[in-house]
Formats: sequence, structure tokens, C-alpha cells
Amino acid sequence: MTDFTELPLDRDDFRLLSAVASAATSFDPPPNDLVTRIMLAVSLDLMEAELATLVAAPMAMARTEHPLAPETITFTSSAASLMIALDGDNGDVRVDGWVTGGTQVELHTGREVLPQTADETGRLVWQAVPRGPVRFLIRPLLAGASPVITPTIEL
Amino acid sequence: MTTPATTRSLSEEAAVAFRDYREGEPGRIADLVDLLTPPLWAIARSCGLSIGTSEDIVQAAWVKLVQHADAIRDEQAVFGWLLTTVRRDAWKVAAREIPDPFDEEPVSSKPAPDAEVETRDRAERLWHHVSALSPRCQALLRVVAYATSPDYAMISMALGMPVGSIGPTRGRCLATLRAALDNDPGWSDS
Repeated sequence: MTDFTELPLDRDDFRLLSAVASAATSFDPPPNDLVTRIMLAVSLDLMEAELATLVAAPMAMARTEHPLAPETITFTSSAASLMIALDGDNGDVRVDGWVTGGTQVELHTGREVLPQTADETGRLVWQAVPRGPVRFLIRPLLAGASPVITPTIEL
Repeated sequence: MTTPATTRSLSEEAAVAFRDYREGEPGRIADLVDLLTPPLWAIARSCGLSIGTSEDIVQAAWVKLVQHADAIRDEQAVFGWLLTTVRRDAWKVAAREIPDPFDEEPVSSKPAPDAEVETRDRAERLWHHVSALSPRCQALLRVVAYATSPDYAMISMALGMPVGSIGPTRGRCLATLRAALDNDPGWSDS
């Protein structure tokens, strides 16, 4: 029911609302990477892909010469799997990957898509990826299989 | 009042982007996310939720939208649908969440580092009083601040408030804010 006693907003009201808008932008804006995270989250549904399961595991390479093996993250799904190792200090991150069940893997940063093709041993590498939220898309070789998308991880 | 750069209301802008998205332009979802994430963020934060929780709620609303995009009959309803979704989920969580006193401040009162001192003081005072409003009034004023008048009625309804709650008469949200400012000796109208 219309409130007939309600006065319309006047110029001072609009100025105050405008000041509220400015203050909100200064003091409580959405986090810088929120939109990126949202786009990464919706991309799964947009691509009608299968979500891989994250299995975090320390690298168990008995034959490695390196005493401090980097931590790896493994993603598994019905048609493909991807294991990655991250290496980076302050700047960009180097991502080494090993994929099974496919050869085409895309690294999605939310701003760009970085595709790589695995060699005959399933190895991939992204030399310098900016820090931030990312996810991977694997195109399985299995006929009829949906693309596989990993959960978002933070580099 | 300055005339907005676009003559389209926020609902209309959102409706056009959503229509394009449903008609086969997937990139338009990014425009929709850019456009509406700030007001959706405002609702979650107005409930006193932490930054992390607010991010999760806003993100979940967008995922839900993409999953149920076909079920929204009228494109004009997409903004209201998102507002209502975030409002409901935020209230649910706010009712459950016990605030941790050592947790971050629910709504920051730290100004941007490059803000001019005098401006910062006024803005900081204003923000202090906005933060002290009831969650409903805070959400309403913060969301309408992004919108234009054709959106006001829809926003009020989506936030579960009577149409006209923004206005200054009879103790409505702007009146409450203005009274708090008038009672603040450090605040001067200019």
C-alpha cells in the first residue's frame, strides 16, 4: 500500500547516499580478488565439467636427489589426474605438472587461460604464473569424457 | 543530485547482461558479476559477517544463479533474485555465527591510505555511524547507494523492508543516520 505521507528524497538525501557510497568504497569494498574467485567458481558450471578431487600429499620420490622435496598437490577424477608442484619465493610461481588421462591442460587465472601440452611422460610446466587463485582444466583423451576442472587453489 | 552516466537502472543493466548471457554470450556473466558483486557484498557485510564468510556467501549466490539460470523467468528479476539469495543466506549464517572477539573487525573503520586527512575524518565518521545502523538499514542504504531511484522499491522489497524505508520521514533509515550525525559533535554539515 502506498504511503501517501512519505516525502520523496531530496537533494540532501541524495548527497548523503552518495557520501555513504564513497565511504563504503573506502572502508569496506569487496576484496580485490573476489570477482576473480567468483568467475573461477562459476566456470565449472559454465563448462559442464567434472570437478576433480583434491588430494594433498607430500612428494614421495624415493629416488630423488633433493633432500627437500617440494610439496605436491594431486587432483583426481574419473577420466584424468593431475599432480602439480609449486616453486616460488616472492614473485611469480613456477608450476610443474604431471598429467594422466590427457595431454591438454589449461591453467585458469580468472584473467587469462594458460594452455600447455604434456610431453610423452605427461610432464607440463608453467614457468611464471602470477600469485593468486587458479584452477586447472584437463581435456581427457577418453572419448565422451567431460572436461575436468580442479578446485581453486591459491598460488 | 548528479545525473547518472547511464539512464538505465541497475536492474535494467543487469537484465540486459543476463539476457545476453542466456542468449549465448557466456562472457556477459562477467559483466553481470562486475556490476552486482559490490551491492551483494554490502548485504553480507551489513549482517556483521566476516570478510571470508561474506565472500563465500556472495560466491555461492553466483554459483546458484548459473546453475538455475534457466529457472529465472524474467530477466528483470535477476538483481532482485541475487539480493534475496544473499540476504537469506547471510541472515541464516549471521543467526548462527558467534562472533570471535579476536577475529577481524566485521566492518573496517580503517581509511584508505591515500585519503586526504580532512576528507578521511568526515568519511570515517560517516562510516562509523553507517556501521552502527541496524543490519537492515545498513544493507538498504549501502545497496541503494549503488542504484538509481527506479531500483529503490525493488531493493526495499528484496531486503524484506517496506517500500519507503530509505526515506527521511517517520524514523526511516536516512533519518536514523542523519540523527546520529547530528548528535555527533565532531560532525559538521557542509
